[in-house]
Amino acid sequence: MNAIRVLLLAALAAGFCQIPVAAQGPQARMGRRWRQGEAWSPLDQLERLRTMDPEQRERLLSRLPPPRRANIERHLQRYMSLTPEQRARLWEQYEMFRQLAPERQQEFRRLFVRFLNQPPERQDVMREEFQRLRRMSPQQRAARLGSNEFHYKFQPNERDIIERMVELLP
Amino acid sequence: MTALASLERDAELMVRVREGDDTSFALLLNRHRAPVVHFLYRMVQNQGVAEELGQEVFLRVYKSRATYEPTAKFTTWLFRIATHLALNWLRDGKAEKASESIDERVDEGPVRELRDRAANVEQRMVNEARLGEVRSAIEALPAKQRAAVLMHKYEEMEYSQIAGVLGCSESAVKSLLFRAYETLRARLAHLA
Amino acid sequence: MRCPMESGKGAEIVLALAAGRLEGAERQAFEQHMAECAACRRMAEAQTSVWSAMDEWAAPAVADSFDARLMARVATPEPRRWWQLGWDFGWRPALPVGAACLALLGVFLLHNPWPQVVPPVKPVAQVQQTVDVDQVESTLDDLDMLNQLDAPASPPHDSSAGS
Repeated sequence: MNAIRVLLLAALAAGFCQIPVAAQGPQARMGRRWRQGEAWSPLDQLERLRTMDPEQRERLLSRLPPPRRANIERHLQRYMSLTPEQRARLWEQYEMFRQLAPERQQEFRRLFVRFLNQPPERQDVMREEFQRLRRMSPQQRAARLGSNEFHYKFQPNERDIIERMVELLP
Repeated sequence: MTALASLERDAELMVRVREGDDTSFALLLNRHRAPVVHFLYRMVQNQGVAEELGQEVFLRVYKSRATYEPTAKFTTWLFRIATHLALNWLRDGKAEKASESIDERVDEGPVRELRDRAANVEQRMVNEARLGEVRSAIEALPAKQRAAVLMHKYEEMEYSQIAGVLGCSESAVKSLLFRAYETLRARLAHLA
Repeated sequence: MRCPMESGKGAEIVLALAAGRLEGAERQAFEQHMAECAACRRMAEAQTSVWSAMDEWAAPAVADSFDARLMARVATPEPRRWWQLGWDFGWRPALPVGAACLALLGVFLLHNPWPQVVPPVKPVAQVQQTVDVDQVESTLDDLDMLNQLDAPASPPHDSSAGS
């Protein structure tokens, strides 16, 4: 009988101990998950900045050196002037870009720098070609890149930029 | 205020906190908030987590105020708590932690023309790459070596104080630091 | 000066030099030694380079809300553990009475499940109020890059207009 009493006590005590654990609902689990370092995504951060109280945003940006602040504000203004549909499309593009390995992202940025170094009128033509190639199927794209028209329309440097960019971000 | 006077002042303030003076706690917080959070940031490489752990540090200081005795330097105690929390977090959260992106960059100057922008983007990429290497190199150090290096470099602590924080001998600290810096020299030599 | 590497002091002296903590006669002696010792000179240069590189790693500013969040946590009373509740009523080491009470409670719990009590957990948005400005800047740059590449073609350039 004593053994049975001890077992019963132990079982009830174990049951008591489960109560606070069971009481931790999803919110507590979320808190634990956050403690393990799950960071906000870049777009979440940007959206937080965009939707932040203007005074709070002002305080945040006022800590920066003026040129950096001006740069961020200009880009942010441009971003905020997008329609929700345009912003959604940009997010899609950005998420695709983020899927790239960091070194490929860096390569794409370097290619963009080279793109910016072309004369403005050539940038327009290259941009149009890049957009057209992205709308094509892989077979059509390969055919276009191998065509005489593409070859003669663009300088070697320009062809290299376009080919490489569309390879990274088809 | 000289360093010694500052240390005595820390202990004096903490004794006042023990006696119920919350204003003294606010003064201690003001003085040590940034160094603690910056140390934690470099340890875990995530600002959100660093601030959360930083709060935990000061919360523990506050909660143990009743039993505070000024036997060791206040900053030794503070960094001992911070290091303990950081090491636990690194051990427990290794699989899921996320490093943040690169930090403060060189002032780039006004961005006007496309050419300037191209140059600024390139410069930023170079700076980002350098910083990325430094962060990766430090992240790759074993946790205790990392803590020792961060305290030595950024908090300018002496070997004896680092030993107090890590709970080991001064010669053990020197050994940790010399190995860590040797690794960093090998890994970052190409940045010279 | 005897080479510090031979005496095992090399690393310590080089660290002190790079950190700007080697002063006076000791510094002068080591600098003179480095003029003749390539090994020490190389190590010192490498360490100085590491030191400079580490100087570039600035930590972000602590959020303005840090203190407020900390004080909120300080003000939140700790939840009492279940075994602490008993101390308020004194402890009676009467095993049979205690076992009977537990047994009755067990029966009660079987028929009436314990209410779900979710402790007040800070919402994630409140916990992490810092916006990583550097991350945001990088994101804006990337978005701007993608937007420029995706933009419709601009009107034809008028070469007579000048730049």
